[in-house]
Amino acid sequence: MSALFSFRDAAGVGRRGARMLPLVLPVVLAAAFAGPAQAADGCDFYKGKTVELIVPFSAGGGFDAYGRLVAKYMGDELGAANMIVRNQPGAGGLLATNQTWTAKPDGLKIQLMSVSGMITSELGGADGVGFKSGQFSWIGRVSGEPDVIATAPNGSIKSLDDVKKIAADRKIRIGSSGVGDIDYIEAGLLAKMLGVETDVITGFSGSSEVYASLGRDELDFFVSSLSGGEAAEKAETARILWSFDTEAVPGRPEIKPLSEVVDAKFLPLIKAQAAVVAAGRALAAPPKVPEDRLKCLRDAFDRAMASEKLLDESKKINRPVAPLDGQKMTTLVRSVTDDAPKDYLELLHKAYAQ
Amino acid sequence: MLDAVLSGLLQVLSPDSMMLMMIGIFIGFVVGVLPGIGGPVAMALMLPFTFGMPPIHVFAFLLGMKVVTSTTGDITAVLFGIPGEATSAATVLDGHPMARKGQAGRALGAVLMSSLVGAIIGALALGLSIPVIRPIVLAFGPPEFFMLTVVGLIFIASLSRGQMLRGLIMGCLGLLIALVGIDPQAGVPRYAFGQLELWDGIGIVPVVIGLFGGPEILQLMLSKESIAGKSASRKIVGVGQGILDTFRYWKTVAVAGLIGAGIGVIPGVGGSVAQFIAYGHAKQTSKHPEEFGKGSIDGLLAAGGNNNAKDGGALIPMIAIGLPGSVSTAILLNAFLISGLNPGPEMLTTHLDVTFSMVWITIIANIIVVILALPLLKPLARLTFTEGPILVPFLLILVVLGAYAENNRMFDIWVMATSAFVGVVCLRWNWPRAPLLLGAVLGDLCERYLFLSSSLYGWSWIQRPLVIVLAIAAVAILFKTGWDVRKHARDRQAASLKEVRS
Repeated sequence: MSALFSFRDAAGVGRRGARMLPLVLPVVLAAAFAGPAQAADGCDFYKGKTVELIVPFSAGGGFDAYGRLVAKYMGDELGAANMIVRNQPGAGGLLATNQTWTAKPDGLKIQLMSVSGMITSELGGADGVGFKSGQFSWIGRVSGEPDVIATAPNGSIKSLDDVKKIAADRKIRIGSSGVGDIDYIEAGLLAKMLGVETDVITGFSGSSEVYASLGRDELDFFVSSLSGGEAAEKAETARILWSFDTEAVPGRPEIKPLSEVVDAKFLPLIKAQAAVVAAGRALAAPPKVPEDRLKCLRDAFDRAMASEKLLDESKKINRPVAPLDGQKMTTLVRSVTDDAPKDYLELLHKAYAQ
Repeated sequence: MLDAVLSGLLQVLSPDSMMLMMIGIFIGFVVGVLPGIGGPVAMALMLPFTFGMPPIHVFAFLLGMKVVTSTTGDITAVLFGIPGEATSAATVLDGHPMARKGQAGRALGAVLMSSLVGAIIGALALGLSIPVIRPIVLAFGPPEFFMLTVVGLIFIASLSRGQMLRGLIMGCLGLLIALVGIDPQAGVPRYAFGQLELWDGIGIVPVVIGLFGGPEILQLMLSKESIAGKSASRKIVGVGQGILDTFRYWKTVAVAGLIGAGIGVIPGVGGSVAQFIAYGHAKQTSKHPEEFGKGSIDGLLAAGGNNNAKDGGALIPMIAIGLPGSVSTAILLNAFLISGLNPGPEMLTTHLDVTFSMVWITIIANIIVVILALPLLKPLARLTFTEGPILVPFLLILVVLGAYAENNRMFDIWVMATSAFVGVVCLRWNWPRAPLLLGAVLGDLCERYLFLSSSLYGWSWIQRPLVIVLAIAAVAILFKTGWDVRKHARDRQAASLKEVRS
């Protein structure tokens, strides 16, 4: 996993990091000389306050589990009286994200973002997007896992040649849970890279229904999160073939990265998409939260994510975390939104223009 | 296999699991009587408390809770005409008229007992399907689901008997409601008027609560009387009779249970449709279809027998291939993953005991619910004799809270209020409400599965054997309804002719 992210860090930190240094240095020095007491004083604001963590999906799902896991430990680290989770589902998360974008930047309302979805819909100029991902006050990433390409469990596809053989008879079918969803973008990318005729099949209610369809041998491919793919493998409704990445999946050497399967000219596309996916699930506050409060939030987040208790619980509930601090997260998001390759943007625009 | 059956039972009967089940049942009871905040919301909120528990404890807790909310949903439906969940709307149709006639005790007894029988049927369906569960689930693809939704839509006709044109108009209105939201194929917002709130469509829970609950509350406000009115005697009798009714009409209950378990399997359709198919079927086969909607005991028993049976059915695809059949099974699926279990073959081999434990939990929890609820029925039935002005403020709070709770948004309260207005209009001018609901729930699924069938199979999906069987069933149901309607009309004509002659 670390190798996976090193490329993204390299994409931005070096350049932007150098520009930031003059700004960051005095703060660091001041903090060092003032000692921990003052650092704590800066966060007095949160004492006795209630912080609201918005989860943009329904309670009881996987996303919600992450929100509740973080809220449970981060509130204490922040010194707040409470950190409460509020579920605000709607429009695939856009509803909540738009509201957080315009919320008062007092540092008392934060949101767990589905970052990959928000970036692709922003870059693709999708309807209903009222925010700029790069300008949120990023607090840090909770989890991020690569996406994988799965095929039917007993299907004949093992290599690109097999795909071409099938494509000689009929179109290759790629499932998607809906137009504009991240798996729809990935289906489009995959179609482009395989270089064969494809049908992207939409209309499924969600990824579990697409996997059921894959299990019935109705589809050839479906792109989803690694954990989703692994669960489907255990349910014998899928077989993971490739990772949507330039790196192999740690612990699964048999899953080849897509970059080794398709033509080398598609490398920038794969990298761009992998970076978007790596942004995963992350916490952010509205833009322009005062520096000191954002620092409190980021520090509390970092401490919470490093605490034994949180890590234990994350293991117990089978929800792996992959923390990234707020500064790096900002860099990651901006590197994607500012430097996305042109053909990647074109593909996104096409996907959302339908 | 028998080992697993026994081992599952023993693990459920362990003090820890039983204790957790009791806690789950208690929470479910308290939460379940609040309309709208039914099973799914209660389970979602309690899910974090199961982190780190062994799987069987998790299911004892969550399934116990789920089971009781299905039953309590029926209780509020009977007493106040407000369905506790979208899945107990059919209970309102006959349960509440009975309460207004002063027969709340009998209605509650009947609904409680038929729920238990239905739950056992659902659990047995789950248990018996285990050896063949995967092939069965995989045999049903989008074409079969589409045909099942068509069968469901055809029941609009039998639910509209006596007022066919009005029923069909209401059904179409329901289908139109289902069109609102992001189009599932092209991803384009339909009739959303630029409102992000409408992208996910119009929520079925606020619609059900408003449509059925709204008019009842208004009637209470205007009449200022109690639900049972002045006419009825103040003595609460008939709980025992209601229980006996369940066994007297055992066929109705059993068929309703089987329909529930069967339809519950279809992802997304689940309970909100199964109830009306079971109800419509009972109406079609009843000797007194004209009593349906006015306090018919067979109608109530069909709704009750169906409601808890569908929970067993919905577990089947979830266990077999990880495909949840309803909102609450989606939460259970998450509980599966959190406790380290994987749906699929594992559940049928190494974790077979856990699968059977779910069968046992469903049965045992339902029995406990009945035992606990029986002594409460009399005091609950007494609520129907409480003066309207005292009851109304509480009911208003309940419906508003219920509409809000699912998605935490104001918008749903407006949906509920609008539905309440529609409900009042329907009741005043005698338009049937059930077809609207059926159309609203099935419209979206019908469209989605038709599109999926055609994009996956072209036109060849029509030749699939199960599709043909279901199509024949659909046509048969349609003809039977038409035949009954004609016969009824002819009988009436003959009767009126006789009157004229004499």
